[in-house]
Amino acid sequence: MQQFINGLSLGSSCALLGVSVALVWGVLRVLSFAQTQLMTWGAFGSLLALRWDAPVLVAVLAGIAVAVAISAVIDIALFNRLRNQQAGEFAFVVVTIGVAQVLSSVAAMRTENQAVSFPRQGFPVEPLTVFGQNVPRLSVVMMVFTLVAMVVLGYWLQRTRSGMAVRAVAFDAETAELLGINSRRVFATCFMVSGGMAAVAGIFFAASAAQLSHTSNDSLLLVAFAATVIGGLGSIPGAVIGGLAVGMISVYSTVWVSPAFREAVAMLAILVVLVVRPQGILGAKATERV
Amino acid sequence: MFDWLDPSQHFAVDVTLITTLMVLSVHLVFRAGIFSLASAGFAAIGAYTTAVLATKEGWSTWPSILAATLLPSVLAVVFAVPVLRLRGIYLALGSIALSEVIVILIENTELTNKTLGFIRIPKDVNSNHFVLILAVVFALLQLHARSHRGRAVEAVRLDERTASGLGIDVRRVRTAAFVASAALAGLAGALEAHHTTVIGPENYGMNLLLPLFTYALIGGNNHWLGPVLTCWGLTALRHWWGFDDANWENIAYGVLLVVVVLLAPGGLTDPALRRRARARLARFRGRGSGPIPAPGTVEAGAT
Repeated sequence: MQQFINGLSLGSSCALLGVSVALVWGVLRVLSFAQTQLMTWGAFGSLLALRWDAPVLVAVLAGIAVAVAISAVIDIALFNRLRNQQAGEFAFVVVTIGVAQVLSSVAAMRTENQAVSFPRQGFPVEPLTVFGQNVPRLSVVMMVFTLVAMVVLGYWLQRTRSGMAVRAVAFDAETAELLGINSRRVFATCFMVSGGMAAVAGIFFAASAAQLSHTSNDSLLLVAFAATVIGGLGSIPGAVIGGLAVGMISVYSTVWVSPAFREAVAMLAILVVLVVRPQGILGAKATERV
Repeated sequence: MFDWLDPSQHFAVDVTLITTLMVLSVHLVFRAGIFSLASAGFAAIGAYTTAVLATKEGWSTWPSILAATLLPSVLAVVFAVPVLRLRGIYLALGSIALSEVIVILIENTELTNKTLGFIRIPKDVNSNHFVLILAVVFALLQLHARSHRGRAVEAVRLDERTASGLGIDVRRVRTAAFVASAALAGLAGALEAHHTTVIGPENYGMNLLLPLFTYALIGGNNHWLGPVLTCWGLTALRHWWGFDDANWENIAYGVLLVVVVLLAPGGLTDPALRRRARARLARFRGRGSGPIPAPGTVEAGAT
């Protein structure tokens, strides 16, 4: 039971990151290697705010703002030019790899390659008893936040006009443009939303580990990819399920097999899913892409 | 061969020569249009093969290096079956996963000393060996590129469907490229292991790949000389300017990667770039001003 809750909590943060990657893939058709750096920079942003004695909520918002601003710059300055050039899918991947490298190195220089401590005062860290089990309250908050974020995202995508525009662009950007949708704005919005979600995941990881460094989220990149691939690249509900699955697999393989097999299991899951069922669990058939 | 250099420069030259092999390993897959990021994993297999054989089994250096070249190639034939079924981004993802699985397996196996890695791997390779091996590899690459097989690889990269319509066995070409790339990565990993005498599983992650990736992309897929010259040029520049801080170097590489993708998506050896530069030059001359340097000549000046 304890493991189950740990798995759910880890899974929910993986799910948040997975959704962030899935949104970028599903709408912009970009596999973003910069997403974990957006996490890190979001966490650094809220760390700065915390050092200025900002209340936690303000600090979280500041972190989100930093990540959203970086995403906006990436989309407007880089992705937009690539789209105008009608560059291939690798060009986008390579750009995100380059950007991630720059972001990581700048953060490394500012922190002199050291991990800095992340103050937890004000975060809900004290344990909570649920069904006789001790659960870190932060995990519960994270789970609830993920759930709320999913519902809001689902409502936005399915029920609102702008969400419909996003789905139209994701389905066929050219046709959507002919129908009068500003696809540039849709791309920018989606990338910014996904950056914000990554930032929340980053702040959560930093607060639960109580420290932060420029590489602390690097290993999560492949986990996030695993979550998106398992759920079906581009499918938002799929990414949630994939993220939870990866979290569960991680925790249970740590308990029963060996902690080191955590990542191996995630990687094997990527390989197996890609080879056996490339569209993932909830993904639509995409024969022309595979 | 480079004995007149001072020891630290000598070491840097040796490292660059080995890195050149890794760059070519990445270039070989890119050249066939395979966006594979598995070279780091194959380099790990090569390094560990030679480390195990030389320290635990008492093999002498060259047979174990040969084994370290062959084992990744054989494994690549097996891995090619699932991995090369994928296309595009999916292949990139699959190959990263493959590479990570290899490293994680190494970290959890008794035979490979788990996370400790190996120390005191016998060091009896030197610059002469590296230069000789590189010369042989260069010659083979050039012969291959000029042959009908080389043209088949080119055709597969440019348009798989047309290539297969022209009677090229696309699957065979892709598998061959993947296997050759694995062999080169294994060789480079083994030489590196014997050169530095110390290896550990953390050396074979994504951060090994980023500079290689930068060289291969800036150099372009057209000719093997592009990535090689880019590698040498950027390395020389780095030592010239004395980038002590790895962070500045990483920032420079990241920015270069982005700029090249934006301005010269095919790399610096892309014929389209040369054509564009020439057209611009002609227009420039027409207006009666002096000539501007064509982007294609930048890397020649840098080396």
